[in-house]
Amino acid sequence: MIDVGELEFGYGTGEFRLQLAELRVEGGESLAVAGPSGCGKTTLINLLAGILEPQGGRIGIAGLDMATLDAEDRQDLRALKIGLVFQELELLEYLDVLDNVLLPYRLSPVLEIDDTARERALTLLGRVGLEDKVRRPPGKLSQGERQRVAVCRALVTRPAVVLGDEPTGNLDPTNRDHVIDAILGYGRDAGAPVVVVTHDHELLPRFDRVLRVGE
Amino acid sequence: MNDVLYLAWRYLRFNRGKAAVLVGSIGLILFLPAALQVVVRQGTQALTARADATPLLLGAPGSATDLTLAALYFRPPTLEPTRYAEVEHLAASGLAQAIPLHLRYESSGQRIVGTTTDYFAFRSMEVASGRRFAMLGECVLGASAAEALGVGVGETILSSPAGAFDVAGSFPLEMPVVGVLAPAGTPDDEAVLVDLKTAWVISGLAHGHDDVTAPGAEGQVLERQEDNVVANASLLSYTRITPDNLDSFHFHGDPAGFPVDAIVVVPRDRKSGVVLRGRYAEPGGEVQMVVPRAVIDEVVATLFSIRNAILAVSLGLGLATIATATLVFALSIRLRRRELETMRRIGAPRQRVRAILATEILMVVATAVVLASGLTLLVSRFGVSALRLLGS
Repeated sequence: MIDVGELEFGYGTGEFRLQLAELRVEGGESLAVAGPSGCGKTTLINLLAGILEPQGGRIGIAGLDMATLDAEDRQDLRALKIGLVFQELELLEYLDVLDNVLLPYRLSPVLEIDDTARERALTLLGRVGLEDKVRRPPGKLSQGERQRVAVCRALVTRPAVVLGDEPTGNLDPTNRDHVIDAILGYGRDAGAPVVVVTHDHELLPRFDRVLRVGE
Repeated sequence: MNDVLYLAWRYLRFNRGKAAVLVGSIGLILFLPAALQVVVRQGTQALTARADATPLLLGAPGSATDLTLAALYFRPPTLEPTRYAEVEHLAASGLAQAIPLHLRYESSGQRIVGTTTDYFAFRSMEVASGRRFAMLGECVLGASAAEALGVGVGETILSSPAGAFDVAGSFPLEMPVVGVLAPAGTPDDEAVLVDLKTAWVISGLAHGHDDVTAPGAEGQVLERQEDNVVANASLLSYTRITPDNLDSFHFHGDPAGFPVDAIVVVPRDRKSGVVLRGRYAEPGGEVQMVVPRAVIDEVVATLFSIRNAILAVSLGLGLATIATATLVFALSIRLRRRELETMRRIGAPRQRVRAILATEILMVVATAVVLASGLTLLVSRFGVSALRLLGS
């Protein structure tokens, strides 16, 4: 579950301030975050992921209060409990598709790569139609295929929470549907809350709720 | 740790061109001073060992270095030869053993060393196959010379003519190989050893031909006087010395005046050496006596100063290479900012990202060190021989 209350955040001395009185997203529920550019949608995702620290309020993720965690703990929390899909989140060009999906295991000291993880990665890649491209370098994939790999990477650790920042930006409708199906399907099956920032109004009806920021 | 190594390895493998350039340039900058050090050390050892084993040298006045390099390393002699009488004079003094060296000729690039059998004992040479030369015209090959010429005991080699315009004689002499020396790791390995008289035969000071005084030789006689016979062009000198024609070989002139390029002087004792050096110390004399170790020490001092200059240049190049490599790594990290940010966002602690980058750098440096060590090892094994080949 995601539980946010009295959240406040601002960048330095700038005028931008994000304030959120309350937000709860239950397990298995999906929430779309919409709003004009610069209103703080990405900032909200970064706060929920523990990448940014709020100046006030509370953020609870999977039963843990972010305020009680130091930077290292938040790092571990991200590796263990949060699946992140960003539009600009890069694949590593020097790893093949399978290794890119398994990257969280190689980067985090709290995760260990094993046969189960490999099987799960292959299953996820199969679900998004990339089972025959597991040994390809990302440079030989289309934009849509690359984003599907990024989704598999976010879900391979079986996260308790899934966060997405414009995960379908720049994708054609077919690839967009593939990506959203994968994210929402995982949320439903795993009972994980899903929060996705999107500009695409056609996608909003696919979510259980829509949070409009800055309007 | 395995994951860090794996990711670093995959990055370097993917960027193998950049990695190879870095490994090559860092490896080269490590290799050059190390190899130079090895070559100078081994070269110095080889130079001084040979010089230490040669107490004194006597030769024509001029460059002591040229005389020493010719006598010890069989470099082509540049000084005028001295007379064989000096050998007799030294021997008669009873103060030293005198071993003459005649170094003017070659056989297909291998120096022909005209000397006496005393030289074998003096250099503690071991004959690997065959025997020492015993008869005029025979030769014994150093191990490398035998390999280079591709001949062995029982075969023959030809001396090379001294020059196209050498009209005084010195036509090629066919010499049977009677022995091959065991490898010694010294310049003797490259030599073709012959008796001093054989060297004089090659130079045309001695020769053999049919007896023009014999009955039936009128066709070869141009003019017959009371005490002299002048042969015509049909009289051919022998180009190979055999037991059958050996007696026909004779010298024209007094051997005391015949040339030797250097004389190895082995004093009977320390005092004899001092006395001899005093005798030949007079400036402007017809000959000079040198102490090879003193000459080689001067050469080595020059080598050291050249080495130091090269090391200083290498140090500058090294610093430039390190600066360039640092710049390449720094720029690379900057270009990979988004990739590193991705790693952090999906749960990599800062230390792990740093460990991956550090491992990449370590792998490049370690490979460069291995490359440089391997090349230095090769140089230490073959470098001096290769330099000797280049110089010959």
